[in-house]
Amino acid sequence: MKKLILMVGIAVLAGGCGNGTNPLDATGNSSTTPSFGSPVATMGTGSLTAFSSAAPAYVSVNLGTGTQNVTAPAAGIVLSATLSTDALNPSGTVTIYHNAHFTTRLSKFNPSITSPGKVVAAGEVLGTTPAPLSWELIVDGAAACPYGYLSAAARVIVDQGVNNTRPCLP
Amino acid sequence: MPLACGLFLLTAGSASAGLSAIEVGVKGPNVEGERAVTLVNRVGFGAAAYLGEVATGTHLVASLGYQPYRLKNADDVSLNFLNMMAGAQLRGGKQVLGLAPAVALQLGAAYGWTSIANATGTTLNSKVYFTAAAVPSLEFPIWGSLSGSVNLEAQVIFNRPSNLIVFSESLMLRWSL
Repeated sequence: MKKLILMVGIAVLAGGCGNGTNPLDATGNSSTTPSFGSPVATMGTGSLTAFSSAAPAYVSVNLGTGTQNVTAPAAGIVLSATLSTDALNPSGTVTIYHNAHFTTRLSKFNPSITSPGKVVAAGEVLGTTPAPLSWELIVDGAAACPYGYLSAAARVIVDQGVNNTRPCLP
Repeated sequence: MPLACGLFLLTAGSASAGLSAIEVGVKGPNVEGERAVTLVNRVGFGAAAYLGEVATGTHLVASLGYQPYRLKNADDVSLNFLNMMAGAQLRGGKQVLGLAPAVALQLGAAYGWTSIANATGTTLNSKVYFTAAAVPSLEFPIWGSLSGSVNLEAQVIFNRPSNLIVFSESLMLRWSL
């Protein structure tokens, strides 16, 4: 009995084996709504535009022109990352699972993140874009306008878009 | 294999001396609290080895269990736990209609990791957690040295800022040696 207890104790104290991020943290806290940042630093001539395609309907945010970093709008797990083969007209996509309610899909850029399962922090660089970026926010499986979930600082950036249109804007 | 994980397997191995029973079975978990919003319960598997009586009605037990969960709204993502625990089981002295009640208290480690189906180059996020469980059970005879047991397990996987609390029902097949 003493041997058993001793070995359990040693093992617990020696705990710490594992890689990357705590997987329980990575699953997200679903009791809170993430405060989303802007995935780019400037909007330029970008626009916040709502439109729907055949299926599924989604909201796309055109976040401007000019080469700049694309960052994670909130912390989460990378579910998928598709690299782009065309640097000038990038077609890469990164999907981030924030928690049980919120998923983000950023597309039309050059991802540098290649590993599904990687845990990204809010603001972590995901890649670069020389062209407009699309940001889809999926809430409980349905498309939603990201604007309502943006932090105050992110709204200042997005409000710079000269071609912003309703109904995505409040 | 990292040190802590290896030590726990040694712990389980040390129970092989004086083995009195082994059991295997399936487990149906119910995640409690805020994690219930995030995690979708899936069937898990468990095995346990019992040492002979070390005190009146008390047996040492080492258990190994695998418990996966799916992440809600992310069908391809799983959160998996490999539970490695050891402790003692106190068996009731009296039996009614061949039914034998018991309760086990166990401590150990849970190795947790995320996995994504159909993904290449997946970055593994993993960690070892301290865990504790209380397992009331009711054993019923089947045939000869073969018996079954219905367990109602309460397990806590300790994590900051919020623990993972799971109540599970399990059905085990037990072979007394």
